[in-house]
Amino acid sequence: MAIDRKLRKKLIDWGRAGLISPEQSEKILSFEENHAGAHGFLFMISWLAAACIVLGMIALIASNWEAIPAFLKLTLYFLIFGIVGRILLLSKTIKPLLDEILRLGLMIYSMAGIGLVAQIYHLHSQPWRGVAFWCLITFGLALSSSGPWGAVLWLPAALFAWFSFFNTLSLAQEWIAVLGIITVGSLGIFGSFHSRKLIHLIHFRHISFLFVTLACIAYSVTAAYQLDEKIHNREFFTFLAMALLWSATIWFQKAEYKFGSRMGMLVFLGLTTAQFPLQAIASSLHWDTIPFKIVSCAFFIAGTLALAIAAFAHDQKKVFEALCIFIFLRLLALYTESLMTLTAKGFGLISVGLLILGGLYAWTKLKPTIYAKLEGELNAKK
Amino acid sequence: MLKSKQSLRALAVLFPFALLLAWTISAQMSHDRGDIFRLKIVGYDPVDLLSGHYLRFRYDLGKVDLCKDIPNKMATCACLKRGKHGTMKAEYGGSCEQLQSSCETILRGNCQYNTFLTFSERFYFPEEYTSVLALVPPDSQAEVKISKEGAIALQKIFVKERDILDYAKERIRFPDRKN
Repeated sequence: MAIDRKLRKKLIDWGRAGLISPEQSEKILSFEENHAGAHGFLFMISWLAAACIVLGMIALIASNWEAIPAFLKLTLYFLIFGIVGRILLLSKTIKPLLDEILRLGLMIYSMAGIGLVAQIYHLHSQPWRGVAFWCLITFGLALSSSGPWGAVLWLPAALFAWFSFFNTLSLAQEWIAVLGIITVGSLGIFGSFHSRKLIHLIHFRHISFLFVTLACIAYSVTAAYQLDEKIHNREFFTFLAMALLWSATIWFQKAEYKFGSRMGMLVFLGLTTAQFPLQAIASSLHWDTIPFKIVSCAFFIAGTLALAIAAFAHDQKKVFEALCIFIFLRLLALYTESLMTLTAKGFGLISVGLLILGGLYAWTKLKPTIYAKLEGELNAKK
Repeated sequence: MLKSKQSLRALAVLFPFALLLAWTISAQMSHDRGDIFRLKIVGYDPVDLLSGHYLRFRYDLGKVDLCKDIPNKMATCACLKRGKHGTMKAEYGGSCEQLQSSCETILRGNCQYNTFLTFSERFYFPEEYTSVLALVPPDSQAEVKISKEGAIALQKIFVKERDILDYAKERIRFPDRKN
């Protein structure tokens, strides 16, 4: 009924806007009335009945789970896997969204299967082994997934398994640094590498790029809070090498990277890596915490802004906006920890509220101008 | 091109199915292989962030220090002999190759921070028994199968000849009753 009311309202709006004529509006309404049975109450009831049956079956199995013999559990598991697999393989009319859901479902279901077998046979090992096995068996599913979610699930799991495996090796710190450089650097290179031959890996590239970028951002935020700690060479060389490798890749990209994007990424990487020497200098000169945090924050803002411009050059305007908000939040955090405590508590809180409102107002007013200027600048430098 | 894409997509679905099935079959085979023995078990409670509804224990193989002079995470073997109460005890330890020729029943394991572990020291149980199986009950024994190569597969756990799940049920029904 609510849908009908909404439709009527929409039709009136479209009619007023001159998008459809009154005759068309009549025709749409009469069509919907004739087909109401297929989408209306009966349809909803049949969905409800189907949901009841499925949920009831799940509840029945779950409540009797312990009573089900191990063989039956495993048979049931593989039967369901087989049915879903058959739907994926043999149905040509399957919708892309359902295909994607089933693929992701099978990825999660595979992890459940590992747990089930381990439970039945009382097997256990270090967690990374189970995760690595899951990564091995589901790589194809993640790769054939049409959306990014396959890579979103797969890549963090693979990194967890890989880094947990490092820990078991009992290697010298230098070797761990080398392995860290190779891993993070390769991920950065892979993420920024544009090749038509690797078209199937597009989501893996994007997610890798996102992870390394997030790692850099997280690092450049946390660097400001490590002033009192000893600088670890391992971390420094890992980030330096990663930044160099990644910069080199971006620089030698010819075909698809725009100038603004390339420069933005380089500035971002440069300033992120510069946080380490800055920290070393601040430590050796016995800087006060607040000046160091201000300088570090400036590095962060400049770097993240460069990254935002790089995203803008790639027509990723939502990423640009998100990064701008992130910069604003970083400034707000700096204000709250450095200046807010200097004033009376009540006023400090009010000032934060005013700053947020001011920032929102300024962003709404200035956004069109900023977009227009950036587009003009970036197009001029193409 | 289209055909190869379709076969890759098919492979993506079939591969996990086949590998999981193969793993399950191999787990079943390991579970069925070997002779049945009883081993005494005792509690083992390191910090476990992923702990679930299972009992963590270690096999009590007697007084022989199987991990003496063995580096951490190094594979090693124990030679088992039947003890006084029918449970198996370690008579001596050493490299698996050496023990395979000199000992009738060997048990493969790994020295983790001076503790001999076989990676079968976990027994999963239904959630409802969590309250009574938080710790390994006293006088518990594990029924295991040990293959000729020394691979162990946990079958059941007994508390004084009673199946641990029956013991747990009884403890829930009669919480005040002693073992």
